[in-house]
Amino acid sequence: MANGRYRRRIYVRRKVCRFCADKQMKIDYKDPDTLKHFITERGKILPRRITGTCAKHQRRLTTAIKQARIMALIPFTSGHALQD
Amino acid sequence: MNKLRWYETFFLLVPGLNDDDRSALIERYQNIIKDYGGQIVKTDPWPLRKLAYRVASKTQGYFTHGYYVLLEYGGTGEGVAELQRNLRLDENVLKFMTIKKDDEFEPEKVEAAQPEPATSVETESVTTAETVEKEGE
Repeated sequence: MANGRYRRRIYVRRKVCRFCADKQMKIDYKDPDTLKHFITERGKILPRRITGTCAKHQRRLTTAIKQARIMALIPFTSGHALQD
Repeated sequence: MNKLRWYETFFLLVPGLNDDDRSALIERYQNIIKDYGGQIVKTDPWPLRKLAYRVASKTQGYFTHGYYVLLEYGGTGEGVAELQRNLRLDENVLKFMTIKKDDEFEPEKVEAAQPEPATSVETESVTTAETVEKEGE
């Protein structure tokens, strides 16, 4: 369909993995301020297709987020999170 | 002597402890590592921090705040096991986690890889880290 082809042309900004772009940026479970960018309001891990993180860093990121949850640095869900 | 691996142990202490209690506790855990032939490279006690969720203690009810402490060291498997056993028994420890950072432990390499202390803001904590490094050598 001609129309469909047209729609696909719509320019989408290519997302770049933030950890590849900035080599100084480390994935660390002890750094909840960085991890916060990769979880939703409810505390879920954001998928790669939204954040643009590369596969390698997404794997490390999920591990770090889960470790941070265990250590009570970030909440598992918003339901039990302490309000500020 | 057993080969040393590079570990870090991160644990959470109850908020009711004063500075002296905490230093004594941290020193106890450092000594466990040293007794097993380990070498401490970094000790980073964080200031009091609000937790992401309520944490229950077996004996002391619920906590919303706590002191995190990070120990980075080259240690043996037995040393880590003993440290974890002690952390588990200690009622002042709410949570702990040990992570193997590398299979090899070379003090020079570890020190070079050390980033600037991003989390430790207190001058007090910095001095403790330094004294520990000297003792470990």
